Amino acid sequence: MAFYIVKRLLWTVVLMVLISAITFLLFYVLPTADPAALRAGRSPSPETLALIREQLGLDRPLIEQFWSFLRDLFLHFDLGNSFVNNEPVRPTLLDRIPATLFLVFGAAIVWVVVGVTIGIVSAVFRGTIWDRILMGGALLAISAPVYWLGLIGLFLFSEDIGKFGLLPGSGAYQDADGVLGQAHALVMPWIVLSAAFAAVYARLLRANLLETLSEDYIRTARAKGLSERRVVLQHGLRSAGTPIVTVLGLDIGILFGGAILTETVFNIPGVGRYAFEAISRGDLATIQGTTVFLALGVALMSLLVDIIYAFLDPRVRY
Amino acid sequence: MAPLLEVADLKVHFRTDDGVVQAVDGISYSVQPGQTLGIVGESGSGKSVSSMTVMGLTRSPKSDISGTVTFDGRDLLSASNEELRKVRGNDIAMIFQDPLSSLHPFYKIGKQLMEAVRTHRDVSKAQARDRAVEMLGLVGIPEPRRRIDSYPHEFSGGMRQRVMIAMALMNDPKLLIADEPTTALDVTVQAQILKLIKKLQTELGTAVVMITHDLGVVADVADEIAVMYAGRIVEHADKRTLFDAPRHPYTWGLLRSIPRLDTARDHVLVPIPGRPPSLITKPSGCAFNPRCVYATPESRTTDPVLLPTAPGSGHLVACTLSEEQRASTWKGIVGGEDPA
Amino acid sequence: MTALIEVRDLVKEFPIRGEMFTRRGAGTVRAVGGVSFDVMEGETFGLVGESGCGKSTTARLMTRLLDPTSGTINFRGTDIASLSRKQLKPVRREMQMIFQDPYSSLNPRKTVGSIIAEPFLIHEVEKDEKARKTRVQSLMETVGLNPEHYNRLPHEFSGGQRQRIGIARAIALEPKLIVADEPVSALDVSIQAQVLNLLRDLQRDMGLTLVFIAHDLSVVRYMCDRVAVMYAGEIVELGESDQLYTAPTHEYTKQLLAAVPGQSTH
Repeated sequence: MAFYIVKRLLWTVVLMVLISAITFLLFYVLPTADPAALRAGRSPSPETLALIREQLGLDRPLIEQFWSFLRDLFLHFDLGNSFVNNEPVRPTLLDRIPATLFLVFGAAIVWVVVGVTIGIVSAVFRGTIWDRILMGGALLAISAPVYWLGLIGLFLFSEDIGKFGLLPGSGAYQDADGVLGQAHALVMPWIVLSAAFAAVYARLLRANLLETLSEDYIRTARAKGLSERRVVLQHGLRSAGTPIVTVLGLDIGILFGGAILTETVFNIPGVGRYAFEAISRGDLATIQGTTVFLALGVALMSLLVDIIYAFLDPRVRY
Repeated sequence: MAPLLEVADLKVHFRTDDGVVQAVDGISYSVQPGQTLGIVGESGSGKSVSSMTVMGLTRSPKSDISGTVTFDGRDLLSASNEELRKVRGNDIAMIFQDPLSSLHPFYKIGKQLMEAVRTHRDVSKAQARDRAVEMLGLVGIPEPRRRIDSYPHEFSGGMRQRVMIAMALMNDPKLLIADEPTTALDVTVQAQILKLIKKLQTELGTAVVMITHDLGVVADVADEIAVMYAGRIVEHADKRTLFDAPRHPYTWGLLRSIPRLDTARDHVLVPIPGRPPSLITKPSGCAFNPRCVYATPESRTTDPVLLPTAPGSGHLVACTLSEEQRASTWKGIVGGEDPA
Repeated sequence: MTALIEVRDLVKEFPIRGEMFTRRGAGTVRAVGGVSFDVMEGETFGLVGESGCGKSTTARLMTRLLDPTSGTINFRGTDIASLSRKQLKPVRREMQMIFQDPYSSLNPRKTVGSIIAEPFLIHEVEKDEKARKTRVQSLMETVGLNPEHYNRLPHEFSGGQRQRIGIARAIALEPKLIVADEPVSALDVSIQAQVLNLLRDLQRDMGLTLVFIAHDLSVVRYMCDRVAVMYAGEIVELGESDQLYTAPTHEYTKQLLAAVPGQSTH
């Protein structure tokens, strides 16, 4: 197992290099804004542009730029400086990470609890009106775009502008006091972000559980005289829930840099927004930094999930 | 001696989209304490469904169950789900066909065994564990104290079936229902498992219902044999009688169409023509009639009842032919005559 | 009698990679560890053994569904063990296989007619559509199926009937050799005799050579002239059917025969 982990970590490094390379290439191949022009302000003269280019190192060959990026990254953990304001990327990124992690993990807890519960209820009461209502509701939640849900949420429940001021609104996270205050501010974002995921997980778990409940070992459990509750929750869920773990890890990993819409609607200073802003400003250094962070996040979560899976399923051994 | 299990006119119907499946269509049998009843039938005969119903495992909104099932003096069919649950795995235990999939793959066998006893008895974990080790030893698992912490996939098929048997016997059941326990196993392993069941039965005094399609298996282990076809029992006799003097054309068909180890090379098997009937639209009259070589106009219209071959005899047959006709036909078959 | 197929020192090894579900540590599994036997023209040759003994692997090697690791398979004078796929094509007309599971060995989306017609299409025989249909229907009759069911799909047939479809497909090109891998194991007992008798009749009428693989010793005795007993990838005993069953010499054969249930009644 230890050998396996080391192997995976090495692959993660390779992955990060590859992704950085692709990002680099994409940036220069696709017609994006010229960072020098963006930096230079209104009507820059050619000399100003050339000067800025030199400052940013944009006149050097691509390979050299890439190589110095990698060198800085792996030797000094230095992600370079933003093309926009010349501030080092790393501290800003680190500043933004807590908000994203809080948002994503909080939402994950909500969607796992809600999704799994709904999934179980639906499976156990399969075919009844409850099953239909719950699965229909799930379909609605999946179809509703996150930003729409967020805006509706704010419209209805935001304390400042909503109809029934129940929860803190947009921007509350930044003004919040302490962790509890922040958590309070994140309640609506959590609900909004987790809605679609909860629905997907509910459907997934329902399907897995129905399949599991028709397995032979469930018949054995019933024949042993176990209570139906024990059969479903201990024997059934144990098998049906294990594939959920794999999906969960990847979903969380992707959200590290992908919760852009939620972060925008609710004005949460997270990594997703940071990355999005960098893209619209052609800020390659920041783009690189956030991309690498995201790749690392996904790779590590995926490794974590695989390790957990080995503990859950004794047939799997590395 | 009062029978341990008495099934009377048991009917199990399932409502499906294609119609009502009459899986079990009025069967009656009894099992004495310590005795082995073999139930022989092919797929669709209702042999598994009838046993699952005894355990209450076929109760669902789509099933209609009628008749009586009396176990140790109590009627199981009218018992509540909770009452039945207390009986399952406790007084009546069941083992199934495929040991590879009948154990939960994610839990150690020790946990699964201990669960079986702790569901029904108020014992500590240590006591449950000791009991589990004891049972594993009884069924022949080597080094039980060490292997109790193994996972199912770490055992071979035969070993897994032994674990299943150990699990079934955790609470000293009075009745063990074995549904095709050796069908999925190799022949040498099958012999070991059957020997084990027989040994345990003698030591613990458990009654056994052995469900199988293999006449050879019941020949080895059963005291009495019931032959099922299309949801009915068509013949019921003690082992000796069934093989020496069977009286139902289906039984004859089975005996003549299944090769035996000592079948001569030039012998020709006589297959039973046709296929098992649909359980939704059963033919009128005798269910075996369409495939019966000895069919008469009477069997097409009259539904035969399971009756003794002679007053007071324990040999029961459901056939419209008279006892004399049947006896002489069988004599002819044994003598090598072709069917009429 | 001449030997239709001569197998010499046939070996098949499967590599075990350090995959998820196996123990780490590379190596190989010797599924078949050097078997040699002849199958005489016109006879029924039986291969028995328990699970994992290599009998199914041997069957698949003989028909080149698997490639041998080493050894020769001499079929009518040619060593087919080393032929390429292209070279094998004409050989495949002469040897066909029948499989165990009637539910998965037929393509569920094709009609019965097209399943049985497929060998004709693959080997470019009977190009005329009408003539082909006639041949297919006559094959259906031969195996006991109603030719009017030509356009039905596999799921509309019972297990025994599906096995008959598989047999019709196998005999379509009038092969010399048929390898049947557990052809009746998945069928109900009352149907097994029907299919076994069909195979015996076809063999007699078409002069087929049949290699019959099964784990049920009684069935093998009924069907086979000579029998090879396999254990752990090797043949431990080979002999005339009656001889082997009444006076086995190898310890394993004796164990196997003793384990068959139902010998207490006569």
